[in-house]
Amino acid sequence: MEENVIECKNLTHYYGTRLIYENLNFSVKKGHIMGLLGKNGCGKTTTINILNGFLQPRSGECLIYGESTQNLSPDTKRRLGYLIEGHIQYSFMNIYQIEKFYSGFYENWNREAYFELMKRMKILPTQKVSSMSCGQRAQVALGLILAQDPDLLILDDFSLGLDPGYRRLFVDHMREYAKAGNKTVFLTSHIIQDMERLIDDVLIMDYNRVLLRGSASEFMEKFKQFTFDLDKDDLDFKTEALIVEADRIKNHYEIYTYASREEVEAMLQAKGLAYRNFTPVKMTLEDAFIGLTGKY
Amino acid sequence: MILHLFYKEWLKTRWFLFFVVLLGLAIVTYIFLDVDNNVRMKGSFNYLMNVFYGIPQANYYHSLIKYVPLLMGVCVGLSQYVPEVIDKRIKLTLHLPMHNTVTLYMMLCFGFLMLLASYAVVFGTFFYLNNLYFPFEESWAVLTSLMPWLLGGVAVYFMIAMISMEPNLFYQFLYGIVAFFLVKQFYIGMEHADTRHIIPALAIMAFVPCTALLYTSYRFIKGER
Repeated sequence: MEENVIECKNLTHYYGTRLIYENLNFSVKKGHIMGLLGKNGCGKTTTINILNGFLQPRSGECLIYGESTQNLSPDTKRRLGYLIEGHIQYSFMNIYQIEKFYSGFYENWNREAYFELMKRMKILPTQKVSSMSCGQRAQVALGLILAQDPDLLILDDFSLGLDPGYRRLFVDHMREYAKAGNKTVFLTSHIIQDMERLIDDVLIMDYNRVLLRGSASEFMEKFKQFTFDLDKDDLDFKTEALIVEADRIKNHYEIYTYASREEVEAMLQAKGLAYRNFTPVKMTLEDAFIGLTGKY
Repeated sequence: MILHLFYKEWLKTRWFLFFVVLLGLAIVTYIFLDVDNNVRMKGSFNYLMNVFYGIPQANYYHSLIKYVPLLMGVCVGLSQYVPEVIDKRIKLTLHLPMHNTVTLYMMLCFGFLMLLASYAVVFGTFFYLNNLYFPFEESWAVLTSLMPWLLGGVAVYFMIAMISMEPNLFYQFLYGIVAFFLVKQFYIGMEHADTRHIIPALAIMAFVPCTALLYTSYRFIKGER
């Protein structure tokens, strides 16, 4: 049986009287990359903060390597790499100083990995973090993580502020690093198309609830989108048991479902609807996410 | 690990320390240029008598040096904690493989040591120069009468550390008001005075806020808003 690196049990949290989620349960297995997806305000950063021990949930607990995140030992912290939203680092340090600072805390510090990346990105050792672009800061944060060589990485909105090139570079490096070293990764991002290249498992959250928890590839295989036209332009399929989400522009309908094409067509026929142009649509993870959570 | 943590603190505070120590030395130099002039004009004994009787000239020197420890405490505190508070960088520090309490108190320890070192340079120079012009007993009396102000600098430093860790702006404001009235107690009066009897009480007042850091950091880690 695979070891659970992260295990969150019955997490419930409120901000004041506003419920964020209730009895949230999930785990991340060793060597897996899990992406936490959700709309703004559904509790992604709350979850990351709980995992990092910077927020005490109203009830329930999260364990990392069997230790409560509210009280992680230095040894467990040493195994944990953490990327703060926006690639925040010590802006008063330069490239050389920041490496020198962190190197004292980690026994297996690999300074070559860090400086190799800095060289590749043409970042000078004397360059200050405060004078860097967001993309360069992301590379510094990535370089520090590579040098630390943690067993578990927690990345909060790693794509924030990065252009497509930097995002791709970050994702490719991270994937290669995690898979080569059997690392466990838990991450969030607003840009879901980046996740597609990276994650094994997905946890999709909506306000106050979990919509999906499981393998990303399995989800992409089972979750489908179909479009079709009808004569009527006032039907709502959201209440149908088979349909997860539905949308309509005039008489052009799009539906999202776990059901097969045959089952959906049978449902339409049973309702006596004369549908035209019935088409299965190939979805990206982002399309599937929108299909599951709705556009707004 | 602790040395590496001190390295980070040093990178944040060094220029501010340099500036504030330089400013302190400039004030001390100015005072003793004036003292030198007065001693030459009036003679050491006469001038010393003037100082003992609290003439405006002596008060003028005190008014110059009085708030230097406070400025030092503020500079060390702000330079050390503001960069940690901006963008919540303190999360990076608390994520280091050390116990949170050890990390926070090592940071505090560094700031306190830097404050002592700055005091040593500025007020050591003050003491040395004073000894050149006046008897040791007078220099010692001056130093003890400066003690409340030096302790005030320590208090303000600890207060800044405590307030910085507080996650709630309203609470920060409240603590700020408390800090203002607490620190004010260290700066009552301007004259030479025998402060020896109140130094223990002031020392307790100066060091108590450093324990309050435990409370505000606990609130931060708990995720209070």
